[in-house]
Amino acid sequence: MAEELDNDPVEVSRPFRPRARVLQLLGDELIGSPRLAVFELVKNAYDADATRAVVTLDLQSDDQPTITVEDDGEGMTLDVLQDVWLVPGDDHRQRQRARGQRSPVHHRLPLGEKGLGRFAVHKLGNQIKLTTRAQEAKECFVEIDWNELIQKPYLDEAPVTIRTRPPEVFADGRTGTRIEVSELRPPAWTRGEVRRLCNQITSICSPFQERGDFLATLQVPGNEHWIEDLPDFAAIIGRSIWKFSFLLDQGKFDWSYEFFGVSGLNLDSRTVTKDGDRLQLPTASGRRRRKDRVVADETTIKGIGPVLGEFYVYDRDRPVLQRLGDTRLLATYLDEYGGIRVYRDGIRVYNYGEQGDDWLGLDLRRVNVPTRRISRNIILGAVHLSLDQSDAMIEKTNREGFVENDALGRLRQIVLGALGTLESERQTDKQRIRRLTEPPSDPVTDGLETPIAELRRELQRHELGETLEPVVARIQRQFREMQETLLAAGMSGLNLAVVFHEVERGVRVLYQAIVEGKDLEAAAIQAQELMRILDGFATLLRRDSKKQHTAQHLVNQARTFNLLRLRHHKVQLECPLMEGDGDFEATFSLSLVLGALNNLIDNALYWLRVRWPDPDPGESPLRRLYVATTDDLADGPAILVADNGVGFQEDSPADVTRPFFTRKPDGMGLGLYYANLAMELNGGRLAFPKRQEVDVPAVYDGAIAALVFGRKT
Amino acid sequence: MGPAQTIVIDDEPHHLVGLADTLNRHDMPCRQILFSGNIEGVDAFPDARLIFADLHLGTGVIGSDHRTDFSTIGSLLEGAIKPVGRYGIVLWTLYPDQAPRLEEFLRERLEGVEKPVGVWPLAKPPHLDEDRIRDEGNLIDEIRRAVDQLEVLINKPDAAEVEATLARLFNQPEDGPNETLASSVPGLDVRLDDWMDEDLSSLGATPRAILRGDDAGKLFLLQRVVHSIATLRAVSHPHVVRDIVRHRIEDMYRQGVSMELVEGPDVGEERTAPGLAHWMDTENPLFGHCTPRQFFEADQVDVMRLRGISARLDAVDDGAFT
Repeated sequence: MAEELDNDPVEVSRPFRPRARVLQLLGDELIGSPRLAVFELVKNAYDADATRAVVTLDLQSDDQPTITVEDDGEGMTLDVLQDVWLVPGDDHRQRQRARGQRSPVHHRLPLGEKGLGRFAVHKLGNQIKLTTRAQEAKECFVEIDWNELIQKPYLDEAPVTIRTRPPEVFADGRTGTRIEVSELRPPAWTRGEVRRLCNQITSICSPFQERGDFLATLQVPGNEHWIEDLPDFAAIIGRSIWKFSFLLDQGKFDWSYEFFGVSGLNLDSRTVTKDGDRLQLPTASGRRRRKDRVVADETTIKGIGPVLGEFYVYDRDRPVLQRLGDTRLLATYLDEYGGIRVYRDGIRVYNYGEQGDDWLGLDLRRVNVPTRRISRNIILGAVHLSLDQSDAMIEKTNREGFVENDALGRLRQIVLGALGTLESERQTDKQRIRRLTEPPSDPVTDGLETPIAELRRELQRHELGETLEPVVARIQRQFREMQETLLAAGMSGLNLAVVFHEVERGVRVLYQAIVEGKDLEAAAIQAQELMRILDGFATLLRRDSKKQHTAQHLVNQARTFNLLRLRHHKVQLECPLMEGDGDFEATFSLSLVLGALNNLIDNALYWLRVRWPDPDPGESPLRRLYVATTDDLADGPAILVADNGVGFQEDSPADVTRPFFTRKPDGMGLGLYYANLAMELNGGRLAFPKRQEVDVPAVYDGAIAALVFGRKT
Repeated sequence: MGPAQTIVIDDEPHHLVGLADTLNRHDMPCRQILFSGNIEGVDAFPDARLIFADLHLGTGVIGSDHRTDFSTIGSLLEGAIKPVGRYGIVLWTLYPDQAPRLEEFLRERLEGVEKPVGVWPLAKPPHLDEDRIRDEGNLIDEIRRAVDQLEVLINKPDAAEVEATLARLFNQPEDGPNETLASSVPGLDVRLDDWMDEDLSSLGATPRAILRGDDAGKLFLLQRVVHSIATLRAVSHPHVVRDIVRHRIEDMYRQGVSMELVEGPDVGEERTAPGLAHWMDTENPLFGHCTPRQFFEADQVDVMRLRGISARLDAVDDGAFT
């Protein structure tokens, strides 16, 4: 007290004095699971330049089961043990990586950087015996009782004894490190847990690539049968229906798509390969959105390095799955291990691709467009990064993925963009499969009543009725109205069944999500997506009566609607019609045809940005849009919409007007379908005239579409 | 009812009428626009302070990015409504999560008109029951919760009017100040120009900066300062202040601020011009043994009574503002 009352200043210099339990915090409590702990130890073996790491789970003795991790790496000398291993947070690996210093034998950059991995061992058990031997050094032995150690008040009062001895474990000149853990936590390992551990250990090194210079394996002495029938990864990927591989480097996107066919279905395999393509990026979420850029460029991989990917995709629609044989094994495997993993220098980065980690939001994406999107349980995929070029990808201290930063956001966009390319190509083959496997459905009888009733029951059961009922009621009402209106208008031939089926499927997926107790937020988003589809069609239902309008009035409306977008994206609109050039009158529902025209402009705007990612800041705009009229088509006057974007490429008119067909990463695939439908409802059609059929200036060398109005009768 | 400062735009008639009727019944008179796709058919409304807009205005573009929908709302603002001054948008929609993106879109791309001070989401589904408003009270409560600047937007003082009031206050009337009282009121003889450039410590800005700026909160406070000045000046120039007090009462009546000052037959339910006239001709104890009209039109100004009325108005302003 006297000191406190004394006004003389006091200066005390003291180091931090950590409690011994800090080791428990760094190991047991920081690392999320025993699996991650094993992974950390195996990673240390990799950094020690080992060729193999063997994990042995010896459960034969009920009293004293052990986990041992042994490698044939460079081992540690007494000095290294003292100066590095016993120093939490030592940064010698990080410095090695920063210097680009590679290991002597396998020329690896170190994965470790934080100097904490070894404490993960505490997650596995309380008793640790470490034996290590470096070249031309004595064998060192350390024994640690974590419980005893963390009982000490301060870390500096908890000494660890290192003993050196003539080689016992690493005799005959061998080097390496062996860590034996006993008093396991959890004490018992079930068959299922061991099988999962085995799969995880074997996935530490990329099974997607040829075996490299490092191999991690699991042994379960006395219980070998527990893991001997585990599905072989190579055999599983051998049963995939699609394979997609890609490389994004320097803004260039090289990819290869393969459809292998389905046994028992008369379908040719199909391969598409492109080099130097543009990678279309989906919109990034949140603040990390890269404004106005829809394709990747050299900067997209900054701090990430080249991205190499490989996806194997399956089809779980019943008619296909049953043709694949042993469906249960495949389905179980995909349920458990489906997803896209990340590897860095061939070593896995957890938790990406694990069961509880949907880092790309694949499942939610699929909910939005169930028939086209790929969910985690139909894909086995890997993304490979290079350690020395992915310096912006920083691993979290708890080993559960990368720190959320701009680079990770871009990596997500890249992978989703690549997946989008695969999905675009896959649509064609999915369509071919469906033609052979799905019975024709009738839009008149395909009702939504049963699935909706089931959904309502589940919502009530989960006490979500009040929240989601307004949405469900709206979906039901709009679906019914859409069905009645379109069928009454004689539109049954226009792929309506596909749209109705998609809505019905969406309701069923929503039902499933509720049954499985998935979170309300996801269910709400899903319900909203369904509404979005139906809302678009609501315009068809509310269409104003057909009246006589001029083409100029229509185009002027569309121009006004899109003015802000055209201006912002520096798109030069050439529109002779605004000067009265080629105007004509036709009888149509203004809102419907305006919607059709808006969809064409929306498409043009996107594809112009794909072809011309950077608009010329000068006076001569690169992006050009042409809206004019023509009377060159036999069935009536038309409004032409042409651009100098990428064009329709190899897609046929039937493809692009098919519902849910799209090549935009964020697209729903309903725009051109809607445009076609809207024109048909007005006695016209959506056409894609060839360049020689219409008079369009040569500069518009991209897509040409025409809203054709029927001739007056 | 005062002049509308609110617009509701929707392409679904039931949703439009439901919301507009609710607003009208809850002291937020509004103009309804049933949007059929014809932007040219929408009249300019520069005084709009709050715009309730449906996201889907029938563009017919089906997709999840809503860019054409945003662009349509932008075109309506630029090409038709042309708001002048501060205004906000309430996105009355099935997709309330799109509000931040619409705000970003408009802030980035609007040209030639003011940008909204905010875009607030208002979800349709919880408030609609088969196209009818489920519970008007709940809807209004949610609007008040969602639009944090509602009072400021709708009842924001007009800067030009405040400036004109100041000019009138500082302008010496013909009969000159009451010298005795003027000597007891500090700063009474300051010139307007000088006063405008004085930093008002309570506001952290000069009156000139506040009038030129865009901070509605400060403008409110300045208006109260002006009212106080008016009260003080009533001592020296009572005729000027009498006009100001009368104007304030009329304004208050228009806005429908509930208070005993403007109570009387036809007041409250129907705040119309005839209602105001009736009130002006009805004897009111606040004005002594005369009607408000007689009070305001009398040759002799009852300074003390005027100060009392002015103080009451200040109190109402306080209540309205806080």
